Amino acid sequence: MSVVAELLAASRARARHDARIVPLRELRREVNALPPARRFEAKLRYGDRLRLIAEVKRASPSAARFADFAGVVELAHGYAEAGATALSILTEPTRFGGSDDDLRAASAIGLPVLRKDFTTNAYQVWQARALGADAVLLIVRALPGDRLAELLEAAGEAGLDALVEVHDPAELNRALEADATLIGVNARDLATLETDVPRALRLVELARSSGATLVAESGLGSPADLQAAAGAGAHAVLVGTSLLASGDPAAAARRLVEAAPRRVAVNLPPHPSRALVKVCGTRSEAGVRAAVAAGAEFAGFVVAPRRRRAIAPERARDLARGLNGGPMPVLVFHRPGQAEVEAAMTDSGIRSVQLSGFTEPPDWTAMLDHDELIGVLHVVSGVRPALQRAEAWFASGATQLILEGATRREGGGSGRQAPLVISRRLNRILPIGIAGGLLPTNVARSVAMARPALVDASSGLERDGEPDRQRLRAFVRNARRDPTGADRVDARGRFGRFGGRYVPETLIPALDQLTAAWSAARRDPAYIAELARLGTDFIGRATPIFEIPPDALAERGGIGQRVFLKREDLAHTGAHKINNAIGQTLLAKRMGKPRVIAETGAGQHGVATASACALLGLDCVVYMGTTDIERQAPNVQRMHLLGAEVRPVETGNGTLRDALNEALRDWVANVETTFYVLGSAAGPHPYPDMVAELQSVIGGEARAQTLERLGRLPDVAVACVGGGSNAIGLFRAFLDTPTRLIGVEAGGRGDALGDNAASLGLGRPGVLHGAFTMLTQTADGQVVEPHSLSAGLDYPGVGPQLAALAASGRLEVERASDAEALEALYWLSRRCGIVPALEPAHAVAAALRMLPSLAATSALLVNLSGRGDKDLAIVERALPSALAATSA
Amino acid sequence: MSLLQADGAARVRAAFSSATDAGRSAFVAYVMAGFPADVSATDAGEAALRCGADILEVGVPFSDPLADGPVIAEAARVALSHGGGFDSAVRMIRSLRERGLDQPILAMTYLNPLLAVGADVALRRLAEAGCDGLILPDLPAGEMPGFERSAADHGLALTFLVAPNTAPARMEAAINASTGFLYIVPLLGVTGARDRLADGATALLVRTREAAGGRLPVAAGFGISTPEQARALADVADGIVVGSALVAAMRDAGSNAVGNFVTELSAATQRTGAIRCAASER
Repeated sequence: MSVVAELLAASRARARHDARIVPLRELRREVNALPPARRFEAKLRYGDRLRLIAEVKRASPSAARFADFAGVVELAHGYAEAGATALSILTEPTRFGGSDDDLRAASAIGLPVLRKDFTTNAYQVWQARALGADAVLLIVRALPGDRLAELLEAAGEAGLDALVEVHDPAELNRALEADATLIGVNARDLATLETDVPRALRLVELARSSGATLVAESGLGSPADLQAAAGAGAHAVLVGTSLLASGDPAAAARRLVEAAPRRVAVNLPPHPSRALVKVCGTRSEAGVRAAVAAGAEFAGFVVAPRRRRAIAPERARDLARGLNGGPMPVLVFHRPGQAEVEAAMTDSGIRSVQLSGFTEPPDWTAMLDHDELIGVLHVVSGVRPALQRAEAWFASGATQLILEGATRREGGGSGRQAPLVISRRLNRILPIGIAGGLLPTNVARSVAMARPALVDASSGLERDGEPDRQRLRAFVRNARRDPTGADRVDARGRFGRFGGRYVPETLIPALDQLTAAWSAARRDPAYIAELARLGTDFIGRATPIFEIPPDALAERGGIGQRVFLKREDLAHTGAHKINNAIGQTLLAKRMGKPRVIAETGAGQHGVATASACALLGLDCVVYMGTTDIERQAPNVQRMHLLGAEVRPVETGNGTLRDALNEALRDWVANVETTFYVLGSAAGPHPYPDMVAELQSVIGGEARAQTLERLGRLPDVAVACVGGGSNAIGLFRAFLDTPTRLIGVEAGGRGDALGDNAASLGLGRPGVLHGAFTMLTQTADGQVVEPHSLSAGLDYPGVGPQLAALAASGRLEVERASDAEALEALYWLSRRCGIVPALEPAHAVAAALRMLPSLAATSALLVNLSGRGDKDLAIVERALPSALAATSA
Repeated sequence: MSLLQADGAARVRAAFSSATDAGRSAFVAYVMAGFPADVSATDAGEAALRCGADILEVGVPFSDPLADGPVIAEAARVALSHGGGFDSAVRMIRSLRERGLDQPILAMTYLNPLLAVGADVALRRLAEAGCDGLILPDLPAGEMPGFERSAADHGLALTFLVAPNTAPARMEAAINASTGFLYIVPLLGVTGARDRLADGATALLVRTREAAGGRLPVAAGFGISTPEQARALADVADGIVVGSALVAAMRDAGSNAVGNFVTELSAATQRTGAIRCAASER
């Protein structure tokens, strides 16, 4: 058997073995829960110089084992510092000494990573992604027949780039016919292991006109080689042996990077983290309101004469006023002339345009003085030609592109959709949207498949010629489904890869029972009505939103921004915790459980649960750490008065986490009679989802209130995050909007482990209190007691949905220190007459801090989750030094 | 790699079979790694195995042991305070093998210390140290299928837990997912000594063994702390696990006391009735 045949056989055997451990179905689920892979091909294609892909391998059949191999991480770090653009990691074990662990380790460095192995089937493609690769190597010689095209499609579906390796003109033709976009020309003949660089560069030159991204591989080591490769049209070189055999691979890599010939850089608009939504064909006030309420980014007004849904530019001007700075107005044309576009822009005052019906961008686009320029492309036979057209549009000044179904001559509004996999592969390289035939019912699937930069909601959403508000809202919600699953719980109790049920078997029956009872109750009109009644009469909902006076904001660098506080501090018992406590105790009553237990940190959840139990006639035991009992004395007294038993927890540091451990132990022992009212959107399924839903009343109200007050959605929503129930309660209502979501963790007294409670920002994933989530923990998996001046935030974990949203990029994570929170508390007290709890003071601090970085037109919504009475003792003690520190 | 490793599940079952053949319920002793120190914990493990334990459970200290009562929780705190953790458990298992002890050794650990290392890496390191399997109090059967298969790939037995309130379908899942033995927790609650055995412990064991139908041995743990309690269950359990009581002996009197107590406890697992162990019929 030849070397290659041996390597392929070994590779197939490994895949068979691995598929027994993790079957393809599970692997795909795992991959789909991952955030997008880093861009590999785009980094090579659009660089300002010839790019270096630096290779990590322990040995090679041609050069044997590299004697002074420094270790994967050291080597990869060295390459990264030397300026390599991407890494190539050999995972082949039999002759290259590689392993999957090498790939995992290299992926953590941060550069885009190619898995270099003898890929023979789709399993290995998906596995590459699961291991952290961003691109996979496909060797044409090893992939006969349709296999190459199949694996290219699998790579597209798995969200990976594919480096398709060729050695001769026949293989190059096969690669191009299979619609490869990234082609590597290997100077080494895999059969003889002989290297012929000039021959390889002639092949690169031959491939130049195809529009593919080209990589020269093997045998390159000198600056002269780089000149030759660049001259032949290569975008990048892949170098391994010459670096590894040099004695100092990082230094050798640096010499190559410094010698790399310059190219003309191409600047593309950034890829949005989620699909933007454009509503097209808006022509009435109702349509404008629907677009605003649904949270679209663009509202398109068709001004092309003689087309359906066309309106006059003057009408577009009037309608655009109703957008209130929410969706951006866009004039939509079909094959217009320059004069027509300019006249309409002048008449409407709208500075963004969409042009359809052109094969090539018209030459006058460069002359337009526009904000957004949206070009519409019609799908062509393959990814490479579409890529070249898209690049031509971007070069002509386009800021967004939409790919539309190709067959109709007239183009725009033809109701057809480009093949989704073409969009998926294109979107790995440059941002491009999809249009045609998208409906609320199919948009989620289309977006999941195509991962477009934008979706165009069009005629399918109209009812009787008017945009249907509910259908539009459903469309936007479905279009913005989080591809990693972070926006909703799945059948296994997970948000993406976070959540689950990691509890002793004894609790499984109780969790099953709870899940069943909750899913019945949330649909039961009687339960819903009782919850609503107590919400209004007992809690005092809806809580208002209060706008911080502009002159007060001016002191903090405000130049017109507006900040609204969601006043959960006005809820009965003084914090948002009561929303959840009422919901769960009502459920306990329905389930016939006479005894309720709860854990509490700051005491707010304990007080809320004690109040609800007093009202509903349930026995109540609250576990509270001894440290917290000391620093939150008023709440302990309230719980006693409300008839609850407060059990001090002395283990650990006597804080929330210890109280939770003890409450779980109680529950294990008394599971038959006891209902555990968990206070945060944390713990095992169904708690994270149930608590979030009970708290989502906050965001539901706030969304409607800001829409009413501003005529649009807020630009930013801010909430503090400990376990995160107030945050997820606010954020859930905004997941499908363009509103930025910012979770503010307790920065405590610094970034060192144990000095803060920043599990999202500084922690690592792990299992605590029944869920897979982010934790403040040591390298060997011991949970570290967090620090925060605020008892409600010093929890070492975080709700799994927030962990998933942070991982997917939907949630931005900030920190506010003890001192910043105290200063914000003081400022809000003095300037607005509101004494917030220390927990939301973190959110206020972060909002004030970011003000100067936001546009003057920005509107912020901050969840003021509780009032500060409970914190007076701490504030009195710590305030002077905090004010000194923050003013210094 | 995995082909070279011993089959932990087979070794665990063989230990139960030999005990049955000798007319005993197998005795499973629990020792916390690193408590009160690395070497003394290893000594305690050796003492247990030389004084009659058929299987040793090595506890991995964890910061948040929510299935454990005060004795083991405190031992974990002490072990952690001088750097104990997953590494110290691996070292302890390796040392026991170096001391020539050949009985099955299982790691009793919460999930997080394994995930921190990387589940696959952690399992490989345990297997290489000579570990035969794992018991994970916070991993219900079916929650991490990949982990279950990875353990099998490394030749490690898995043992899942069954509680008095476990529904038949869940019990079946635990039986199917367990490859070493099935661990019956006869009470609702955490680990630790109790004055008396839980009501219904015997009935639960009988019911579970029926459900297992000889597919794997069934042992009882949690709340068993005296020879009398062990004796009371020996006839209906294929194995008896004692943890907190041995950790308390270690705390109060050291590894020799552990050995002496194991001698006493394992003697109490001699069967009085003429019961045939289901697992031995295979």
